[in-house]
Amino acid sequence: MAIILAGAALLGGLCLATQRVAAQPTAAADTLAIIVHRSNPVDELSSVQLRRIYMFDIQNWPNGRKVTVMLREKGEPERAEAIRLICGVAEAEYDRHVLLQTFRGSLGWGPRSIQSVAAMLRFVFNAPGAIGYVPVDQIDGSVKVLRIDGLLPTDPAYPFRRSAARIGKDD
Amino acid sequence: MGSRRRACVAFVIASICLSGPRLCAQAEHDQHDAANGPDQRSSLLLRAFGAVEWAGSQQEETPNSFGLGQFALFATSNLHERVSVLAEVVLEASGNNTRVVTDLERLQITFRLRDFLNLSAGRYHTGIGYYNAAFHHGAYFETPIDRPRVFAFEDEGGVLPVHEVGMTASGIVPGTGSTLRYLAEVGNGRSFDRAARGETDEERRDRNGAKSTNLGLSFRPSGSGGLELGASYYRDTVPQNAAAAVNLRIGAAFAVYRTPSIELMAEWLRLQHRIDGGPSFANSAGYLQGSRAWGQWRPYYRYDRLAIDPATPFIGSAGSYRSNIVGIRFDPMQWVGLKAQYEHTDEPRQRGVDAVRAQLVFVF
Repeated sequence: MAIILAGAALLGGLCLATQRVAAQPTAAADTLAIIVHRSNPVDELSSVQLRRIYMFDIQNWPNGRKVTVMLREKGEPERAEAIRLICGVAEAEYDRHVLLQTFRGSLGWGPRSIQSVAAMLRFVFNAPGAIGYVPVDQIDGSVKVLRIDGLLPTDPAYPFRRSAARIGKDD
Repeated sequence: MGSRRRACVAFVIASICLSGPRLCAQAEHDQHDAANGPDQRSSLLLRAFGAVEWAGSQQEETPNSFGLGQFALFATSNLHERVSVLAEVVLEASGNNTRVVTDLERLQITFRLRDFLNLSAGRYHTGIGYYNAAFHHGAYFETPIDRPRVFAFEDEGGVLPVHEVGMTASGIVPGTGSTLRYLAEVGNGRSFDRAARGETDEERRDRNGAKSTNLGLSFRPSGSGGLELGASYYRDTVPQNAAAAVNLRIGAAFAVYRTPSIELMAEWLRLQHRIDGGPSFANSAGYLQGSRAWGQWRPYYRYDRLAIDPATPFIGSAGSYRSNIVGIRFDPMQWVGLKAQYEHTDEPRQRGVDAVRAQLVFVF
């Protein structure tokens, strides 16, 4: 997997850390940008790779650093929405999956919960292995925005828009 | 056994005391201060799995009855970003609920070096086939009531070395895009004579120098959803008496497709017991299982088969067993499940036994 991620990094090569993401105000609030630490060598992921990271099939970045998966706090609508968009499952199913993986010993700990968008940005800014998401209109220059399937959040075909939630998708 | 039981009880008490107000429910209470970075060392996750059962059969000598299933306490914590520990302790009530039997089922420390190399040491569930290391003692995660007969625990007459003490290595095979995974285990193996003395064969010390080994490979095709194909091969030499030993070989193959709504599982195992300078016994076992969820309801079916030659050393008494199970699971809320099933079973002493069972499973 590290090789694949490394390949993705080579294909990417665009760091938005210092860029302004121009987006329509209404659409931007509904578009989730996937963010990582600015030092993370990865610039791009496929949606399958992102799903595997959030499902804990992949737990290390290509540089060997441990991945820290971030989600909004339980009870926040953004959490269920993000799980549905990224993983294609309902929140309850995701929680069950995480507990089963923990129970199997496949992972030491599940996703980290964060109270607010500002806290998510702060955490990712401070944690080199973290990956999280924020509405695209709240991105600042402190983090790197990843391309997903080669697309930036400003691209009309970008997959992680709330209106494009794949409700009930199993895999 | 006494000291082990005391140790387990001490573990349970220590876990509860240590967790205290920081008893974590995975992420939900994990209010993390972003400024502190990803320090996860001080967190302890403690979960408990319980079950209450009812069963009735056409056999007059076994009246219908309520009972308690296993109560599994699971604890895990990170000692370091790449080092974690886990423990699974099972408490079982005696027939009249007047005493509790405690077993330390798993105790492992794991070093997660990279995705392609995780090293663990301690007591673990062997990776023979799929089922054993997939569900452990968490009845909540299993669709039907009980494991397939071939994966029964040792102290319930199981034929496989389900638990062992030793070391394991596992991970993704590099360059395969996380689709191919390996598993390698080295342990003490199973000690049958202690089981014969009425003890569960938890290994504190091996009875011979020969270590058991188990190698497994599994393949999860990219883009196939929840499909997983795999195989494993286990070998050990088990002392039969002072003069002879039995060479044990277990081959297993499985095909599993699991998504939140669909579950299709098939496993086949071949067990070979060859006595040094004597005969060899080849036995087989397996199961087919399928279920489909419609909202909170999940009907399921399992065909369960175990065919053991009565002359086979150590496990001959298991005999032959065939069962068809039809049931339905209802999950009224998260972390609670209710299962009800009908079983039609052929066993060595009796053929065509009908039984009805129900099980309430929960996690907290």
